[in-house]
Amino acid sequence: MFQISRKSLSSLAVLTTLAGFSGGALAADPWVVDANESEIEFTGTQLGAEFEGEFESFDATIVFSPDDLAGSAVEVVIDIASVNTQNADRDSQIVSADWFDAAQWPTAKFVTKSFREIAPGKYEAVADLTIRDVTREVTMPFDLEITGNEAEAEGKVTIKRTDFGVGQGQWIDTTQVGDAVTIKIEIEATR
Amino acid sequence: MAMRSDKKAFGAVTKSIHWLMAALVITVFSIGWYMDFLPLGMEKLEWMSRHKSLGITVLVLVVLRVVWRISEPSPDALGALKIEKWAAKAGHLGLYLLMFAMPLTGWTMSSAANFPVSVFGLFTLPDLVSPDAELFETLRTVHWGLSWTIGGLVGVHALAAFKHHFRDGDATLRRMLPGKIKEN
Repeated sequence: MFQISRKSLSSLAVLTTLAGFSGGALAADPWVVDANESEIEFTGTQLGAEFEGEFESFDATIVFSPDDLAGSAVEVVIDIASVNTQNADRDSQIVSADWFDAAQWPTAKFVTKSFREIAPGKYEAVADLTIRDVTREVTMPFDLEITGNEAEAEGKVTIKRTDFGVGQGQWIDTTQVGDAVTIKIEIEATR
Repeated sequence: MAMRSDKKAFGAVTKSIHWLMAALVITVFSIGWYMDFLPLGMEKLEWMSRHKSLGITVLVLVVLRVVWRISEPSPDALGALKIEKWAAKAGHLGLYLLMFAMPLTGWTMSSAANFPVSVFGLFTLPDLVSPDAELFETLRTVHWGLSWTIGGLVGVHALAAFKHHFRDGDATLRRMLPGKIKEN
């Protein structure tokens, strides 16, 4: 449909484009995310052991209808500084220049490009994930349950931190801080 | 040399585990102090990894050691004074307790820091407590304090052995060394 080069096009522009597409006859429903019940968590490995953390603050703009996947779009903007891994030293590392460099790139973005139904209640989102100045396409499978005007979605995707330049210098080495990071989202929303 | 100890001599198992653990405890202790002074970086993490893995090895070995020790007789303490024998008992008990307390406080503080313990990258230990910054700070202080205590106690232990060997001329040190000894 459209190609996104790493730097030339901001993710916001993509969303605007998507919104433009969805603005037609098949209007997908806008959803309001319940911030208290929604979470973006991740699991990383350090010294060979897994640890969990979350980004406590994020904004999600969701337009979604199972009957209009082409007109559906999700954009999530994550506030990097809201990271919480229950360890102050590690949290301050994560936002530092070697890792997410939150001073220069305060947010990460997840912008969907397309959706596909793989089974009833099970979908796959193809999205551009932008962390630091790197944008890469990821495919995230998720389960979705819509009851009346309430929806619950849960999805997981595993990325490589080094693909996004998360971990510069000595941290490019993945022996002590593992490359694979699993991102898990749990969203509750109402329309 | 017999595998098991009797009232006169230490057996091969006790001697081996004594020296193996001596080497381990000194190594873990040294790594602990060294890594503490390193700036946060890859090298520090590598040493922390080794410190944790070897510390858990100490915990496993001390459990086996205690089980072995209760299952066999131990040679009587040597020395003329009653207080000497009593001090030796207290010192040994202290060392045993610390060989449990050091790894256990370390493991718990790792859990409190949400920094689970992987043993040589082979498996990950379950967390003993939920992440808790305040508890972590307390445990860090305790772990640090206990490291001084075990350092001091190991020093006294070694000095006492030398005192028995050089001043009293008895078999205290010799009977813990490899090989058979003639008499106590």
